[in-house]
Amino acid sequence: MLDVSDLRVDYDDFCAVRDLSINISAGHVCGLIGPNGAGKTSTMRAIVGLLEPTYGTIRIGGIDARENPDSAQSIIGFMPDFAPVYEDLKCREYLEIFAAAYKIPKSIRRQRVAEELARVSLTEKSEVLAGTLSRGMRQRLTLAKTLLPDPSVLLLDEPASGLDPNARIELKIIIRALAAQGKAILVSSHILSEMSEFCTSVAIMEKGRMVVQGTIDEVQTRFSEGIAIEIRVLNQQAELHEWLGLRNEVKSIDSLNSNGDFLVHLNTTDQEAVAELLARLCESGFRITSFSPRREGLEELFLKVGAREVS
Amino acid sequence: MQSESNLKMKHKYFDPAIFFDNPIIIKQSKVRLKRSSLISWLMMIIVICSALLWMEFEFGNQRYDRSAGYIMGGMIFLMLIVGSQQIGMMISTTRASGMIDFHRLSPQSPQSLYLGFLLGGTIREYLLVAFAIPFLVLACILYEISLFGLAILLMALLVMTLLMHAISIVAAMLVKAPNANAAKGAAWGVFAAMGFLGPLLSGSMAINRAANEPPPVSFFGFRGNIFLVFTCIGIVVLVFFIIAGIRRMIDDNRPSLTKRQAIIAFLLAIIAGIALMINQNFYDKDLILPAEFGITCVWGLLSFLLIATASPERVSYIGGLRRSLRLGLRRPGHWEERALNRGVLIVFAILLMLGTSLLSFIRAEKYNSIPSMPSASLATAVLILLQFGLCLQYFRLRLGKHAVGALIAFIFAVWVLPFMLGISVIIGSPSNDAENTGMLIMSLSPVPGIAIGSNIFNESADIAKLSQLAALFPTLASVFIFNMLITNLQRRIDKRILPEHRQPENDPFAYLDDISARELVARKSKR
Repeated sequence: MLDVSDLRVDYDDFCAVRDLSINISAGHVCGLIGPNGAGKTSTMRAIVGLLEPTYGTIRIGGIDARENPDSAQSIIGFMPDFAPVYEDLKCREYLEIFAAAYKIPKSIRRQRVAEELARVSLTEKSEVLAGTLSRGMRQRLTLAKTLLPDPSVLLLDEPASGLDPNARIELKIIIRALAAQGKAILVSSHILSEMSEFCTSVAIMEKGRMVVQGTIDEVQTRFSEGIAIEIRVLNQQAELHEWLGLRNEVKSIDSLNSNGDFLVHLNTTDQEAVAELLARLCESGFRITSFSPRREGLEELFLKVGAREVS
Repeated sequence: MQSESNLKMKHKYFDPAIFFDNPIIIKQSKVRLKRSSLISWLMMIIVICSALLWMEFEFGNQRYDRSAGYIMGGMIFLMLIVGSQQIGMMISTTRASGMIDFHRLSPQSPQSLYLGFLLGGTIREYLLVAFAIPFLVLACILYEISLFGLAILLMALLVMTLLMHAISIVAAMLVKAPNANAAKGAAWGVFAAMGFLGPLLSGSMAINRAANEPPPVSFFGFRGNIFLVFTCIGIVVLVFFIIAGIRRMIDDNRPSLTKRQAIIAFLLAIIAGIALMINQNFYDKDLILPAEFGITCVWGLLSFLLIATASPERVSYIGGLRRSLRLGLRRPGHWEERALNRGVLIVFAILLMLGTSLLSFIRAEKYNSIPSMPSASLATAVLILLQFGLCLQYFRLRLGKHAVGALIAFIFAVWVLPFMLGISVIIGSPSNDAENTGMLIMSLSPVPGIAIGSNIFNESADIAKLSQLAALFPTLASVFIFNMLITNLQRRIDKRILPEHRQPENDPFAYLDDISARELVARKSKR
């Protein structure tokens, strides 16, 4: 749905995005991660056509965005990190103006506006001046504006910034629902823990380059040096520690808490080894109450990839 | 489905929605046509216009032309001053807030966006003027002012209003940090410099004469109402400002005109200048040379503005170079936006040379007694254009954002300083020798050099000839120097950029950084 290849963006003598390629299929949510200045916003602005790339191909729903910007823009929605609004208009009027800009027929305009206001929980603010809204509410109003034309591709730059915890949960639900509708979504955010809850893939940027891209599992497999498993047993903690210490595939054992839970690091990424370990534990008579391979969060992954890139 | 409907929309030749369902016009109507404030504004217009007519009727010996003039003056104030200020402010705030990007992101076309700003920004002013027109017509009927003449005056007002607003839009889009005051100043400067303000104000001040017996003007053999000619020229200029505005709506960093559009604009200015010269009959022959010099200066100033739009900044040139290399080309084509301005400069120089030669020829045909402009002065006029263009291009390529400061410093040193020194020498010692020396020093600055060399001030033939050379050689030298500097700089940039875009799969020696090493390998393999 969104296919970017060899994208380069320059500011004066500084290269903000260097030969970047990214591909997002319909129904997928890709998290664009990177430190400040990595080139995330430049990438997004170039994709939507607000920034002229030095070169590169951008295809949105099969349409070449540089050849047919009007057609491409009709199926793409972009929400910037700082969302401006027309302060002297009511929320409903603001959305109606953009409904006209998106050429939504007059007959269904009011209905679409009401639907989008309801989707971002702003129905009761529809007759309030947009200038009087809080930052979080403005962010939601901008999200409603972005969703008005029912875009197939969504680019959200720091969508959760300024949102309160309830609004963040709502945002997560909205993003998941949009992905379920078959939209391709690219989200950039610094709140990595939250992103891991709705992203199906990640793209990590560093100094304008794409360091790694793929599903979270793929990236984890590629960058993790082994599998970590949380194990809990009933009253056999000392025996378990001793038993694990004798296993060749176990790299290290950490005690997680006073209840005797262990975090066991294997020196392999092979899932067979995990199954084998569980089978042996059962054979050895340990009374296991919990055995769960731990999935690394995006923060850990990002730190790992970043550290590797720097080294 | 959404994309299909938009594709269909795009292929329509004319979409009435850009007028009747324009988001910016809708927005401005909602904000600026709120019932409460609109009613008070309309009441004010009605009261002022009625009072003017009544006072004229009661105390002014029934001379309604004065009240008509006042109403017309008020309309000019509303449209030109209040309207342009409103547009400048609206665009500045829309740019500063980032809302303009939201409109750019929508499928709304740049034309629709532009039209929204042009008509929507002053929607209240248009409505107020529409309410004042019946009072103006009534005043004209009562004093037997020609309604046809009035219609031409109103048409001129409308075109000038649109032109002023179009200039305001371009100015507001051009200022780097959105700043309404800077944009307003720039817009008024350009409008006044183009000379459109004077006739419009004089038309309103003497509305009776302007409408009933408008002064005739000749233009390419057509002898007609000055306001009509003035309106036609205004429409042509307006078209170019609309093009520039629409291009800026697409992207803030785009040059206002393409290189080809800049050439067409300059060509039209040359034609208009020649047309003005062909049909004018100068009763005072002393005015002929200054008129010719004046037209050349206007061409020169216009060419500077157009050259500035055709000269890419450093970042733009490097971007164009990278893109070309990616496409397997050596450099951007001469007419591309990101190409250096040398191709355009050559065309401009040819056009200016043709224009000045034709002016000289026409003058010589009509007035045999007056010698034509000397060829050295003609050459200097063309060289000034090249000097400015190459200097600007070099500074933009070398200094990027600081180019304007460097250009101003250069112009001050080469154009202003010799002129000031020459003036001070002439004023300081009022002897003949000192005056001649002062004239020669002044001639080192090319524009006064052309004037003195063309004998505009009736100086001696020797001084005129020396002045021609004094103006010609420094200008010629600077043209060569800047051309050389640009070539060297271009090579340096190429040297830096080229290695980044070497295609390793096509080049077996791509791992070697410099050509000498590659040659070494080639020699070894030969052995």
